[in-house]
Amino acid sequence: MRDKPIKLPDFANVILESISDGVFTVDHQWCITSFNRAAERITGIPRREAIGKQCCEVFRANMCETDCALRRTMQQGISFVDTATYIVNSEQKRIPVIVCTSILRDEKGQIIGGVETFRDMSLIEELRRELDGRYRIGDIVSRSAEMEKILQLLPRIAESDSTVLIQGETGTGKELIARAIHDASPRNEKPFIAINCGALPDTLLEAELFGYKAGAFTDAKRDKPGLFAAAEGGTIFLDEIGNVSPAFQVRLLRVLQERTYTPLGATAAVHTDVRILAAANKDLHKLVQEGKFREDLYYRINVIKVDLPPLRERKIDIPILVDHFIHKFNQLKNRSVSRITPEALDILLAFDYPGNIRELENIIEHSFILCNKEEIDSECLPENLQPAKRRSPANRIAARRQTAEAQTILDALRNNNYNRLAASRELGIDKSTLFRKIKSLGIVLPEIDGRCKPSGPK
Amino acid sequence: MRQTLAIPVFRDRVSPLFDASQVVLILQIEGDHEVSRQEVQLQSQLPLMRARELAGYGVEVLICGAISRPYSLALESLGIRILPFIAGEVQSVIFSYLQKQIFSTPFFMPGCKHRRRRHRGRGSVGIYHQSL
Repeated sequence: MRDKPIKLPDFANVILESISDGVFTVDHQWCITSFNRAAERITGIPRREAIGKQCCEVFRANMCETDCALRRTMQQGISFVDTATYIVNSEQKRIPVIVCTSILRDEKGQIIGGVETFRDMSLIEELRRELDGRYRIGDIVSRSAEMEKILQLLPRIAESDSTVLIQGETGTGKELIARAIHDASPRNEKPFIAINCGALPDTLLEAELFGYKAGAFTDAKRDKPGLFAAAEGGTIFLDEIGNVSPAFQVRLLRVLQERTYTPLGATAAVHTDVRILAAANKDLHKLVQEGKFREDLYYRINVIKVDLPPLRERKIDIPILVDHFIHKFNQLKNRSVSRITPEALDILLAFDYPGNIRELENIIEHSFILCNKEEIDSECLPENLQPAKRRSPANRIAARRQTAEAQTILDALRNNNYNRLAASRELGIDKSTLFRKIKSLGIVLPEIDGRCKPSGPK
Repeated sequence: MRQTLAIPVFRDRVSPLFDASQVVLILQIEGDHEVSRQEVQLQSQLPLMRARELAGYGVEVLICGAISRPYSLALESLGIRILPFIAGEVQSVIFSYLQKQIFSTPFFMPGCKHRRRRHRGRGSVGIYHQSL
């Protein structure tokens, strides 16, 4: 039997109606008993439709089914604050929110239900993205000059609809670049599909990419569309293309040349409208010279090439990448780690990262498991960083000094539109000292030098 | 004509959000009666993987609660027709679907009555004009 509606005092109603956070209350059957004006605005659901309905069918958050904060509050009797989640409105849009939950008691102290307040974080997320805009496209964060050049080119690459070859060591973010190209392209309303070509044998790769017809082989009981069909109108990302066999290279060449493919067991070719992005962690040109990769396929893929630098060549990015991953794991693991200690950051700056950004991400994830405080200190870092941990204080100071120097020089160059002379004046050092520092710190500069005016269209 | 229908389930009701649902009821339907049903645990989280998992069961129509754009795009790309923003007890929803009454108001999620003209899925002429 449903509980009686929760009657709030008039002054409480006035307060609830005037605040910008959404608030709703539920009874013991999880039916909504009150729903304030801000809740109507954020969810797009009128109060009259929400009252009496199951809260999960009104709120529709991704935690409702698996990890409902309000259910935990009702079961454990404790409040939860700032749980991050998203809700889906009737326009199918995800709205990021943070929620707080509490028990609701009557004047006698009896539990009469629960209350959930939620704050729309869309604007804050947008502002945060704008503030970070100088360094961020999609999930890519960087302040190194070399990455900045790539990120500046990205919108034009996205618009072009050409095939792109992305090269870089493992873990440098090739798939992120591919996804960013797709997201900025006119195809962004259609699917983006990534597949690791190196992980599958030829026959399986063919079935995955092109699909098969019923009866094509023993277990093929019904038609199965392949990834090219699934990505129709969108983008397909072929990772580790350098590991594909010569026989399969011929099939891929046909797709690139003729824009058609034949599903396994089919008699007719299928036309495809899919943009192809390919990636390799080996130098494809070298593989061509060694006769391991078809030259004609290489030139078909290599219309536009993006070379991603390894993390050891853009250590200036480590502090903002660490911040990015701390934010990410706070969201994923429902934690509130606020920062990394300077000592721990020193250790991270001294490491060479053969696994690149993925390795740094794993290190931060590892630290989240080990640290139970609000900051990551050196004790939380993995064992393999221990030798670096035992470096002398003098070396640690040198590493920090180098990072600070590189940052100051880059800021001065940017302030002066990369005019080296003006930057050296701002820094109060000689121009030749600035050049020496740029070289020794491994700072990569864009082609512009701030002396000439940009040329307009001819 | 046979049809394979899927409904994500949460405590005997249609799961409120497909993105996060874990269990799906898969039904074989012929004409206006149910031929068989099985409950499966979804293994994938990512939109396209989840869509492919359903396509692997031969699913042609998905009746679900709320669904975000990435998931509906992935399902549509595989030709799965979506009847979204449906709430209610699973058994009643199935019965109503078989009786071609699924779009009667009691089954709409709050705030979603106005979504009735949305086109969903390859070859569909709108979610309110499907043939069983």
